Amino acid sequence: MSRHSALNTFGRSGNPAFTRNFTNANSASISRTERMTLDGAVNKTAILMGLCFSGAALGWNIPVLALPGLIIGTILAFITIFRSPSKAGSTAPFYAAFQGMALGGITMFAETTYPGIGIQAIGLTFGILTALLFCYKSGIIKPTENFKLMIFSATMGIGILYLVSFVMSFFGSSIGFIHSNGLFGIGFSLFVVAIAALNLVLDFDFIEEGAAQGLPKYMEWYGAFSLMVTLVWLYMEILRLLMKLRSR
Amino acid sequence: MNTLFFTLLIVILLFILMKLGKVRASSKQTDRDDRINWFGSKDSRVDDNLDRSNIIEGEAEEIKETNEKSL
Repeated sequence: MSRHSALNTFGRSGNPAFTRNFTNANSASISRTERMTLDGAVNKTAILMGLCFSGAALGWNIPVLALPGLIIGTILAFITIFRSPSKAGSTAPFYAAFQGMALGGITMFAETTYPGIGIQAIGLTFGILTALLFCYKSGIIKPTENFKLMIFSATMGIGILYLVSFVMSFFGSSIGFIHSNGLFGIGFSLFVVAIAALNLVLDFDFIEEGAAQGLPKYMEWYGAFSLMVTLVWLYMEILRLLMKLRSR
Repeated sequence: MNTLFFTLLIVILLFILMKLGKVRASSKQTDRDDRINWFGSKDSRVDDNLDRSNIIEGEAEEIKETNEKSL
C-alpha cells in the first residue's frame, strides 16, 4: 500500500515506459563501471540529438521520407517501450534518426506556408528544455508521486483524445476544437505544450534517480530515449501551436 | 539575419544543456522524503510497516493501578 490514496486506487503509473520492474536490474552485483551514470546518460542524449538532427536534414531535403520515417519511428518507439529496456541501445539511435526524418519533412512543409516557423519551434523547444533543466537541478521544481500521477493522467487523456480524433478522421469527422485556430484550439495547444514540457521534469528525475541507484549501463540509453520521445512530442506540439497562431 | 541569430542561440543553448545536464541536482532536490519512487526501492518505510504485524508474542500482563503509580 502506498501512503498516497490516489496511487492505491489507480496504481503507481499507467505509462508502460515507467511501469516496468527495474528491481532486478538494481542489484549490488553490478560493478561500478557497468553502472548508469549521469554523464553517460547526457552523452547518449547528445548522440540521439545528433542523429535526430542528421535525420532532420535528410527529411528536409527529401520530404517524401517524412511519412515512412514517422511510421518506422513510432514502431521503434513501441518496440523499445514494450520490449526489455536492455535493447534500447540498439533501437533508440534508429528511433532518433527516423523521427528526425519525419520532423525534417514536417518542418519543411510548415516552412513553405509559414517561413521562419521551424527555427522558432526549435528555439522554443530548447529554451523550454534548458529552463526546466535549470529549475529541476536547482530544486525549484520538485517532482513528487502526486505530480507524476497528475502528469501521467493528463498525458493519457491527451493520448486518448488524439486516438479518438484519429479514428474519427477515417469516418470523415474529427474533434474540431483541437485543430481549430480559435481561442479554444490555441488554449488546448498551450495546455498540451505545458503537459509535454512537464513530462521533461519526470524524465530528468528518472535519469537522476537511475544514476543515483546505480542501475545497469543500458539504462543510460533508456533514459536518453525517454527524454528524446518527450522532446520530439514537445517540438511537434510547439510547431502546431505556432502554426495555429500564424494562421489567425 | 533572424535565422542566423536563432541558430546561434540554439548552439549556445545546446552547449549550456550539455554542461548543465552533467551537474548533479542540488541537495534541495535529492534529499527529500517525497521523491518519486521510480524503481520500487525499499525507501517506502511506511509500506513495510503497514504489511507487517505489530503483535508482540507472549503473555498479556494486567496492569494494575498500584503498578502504574509506582512507575
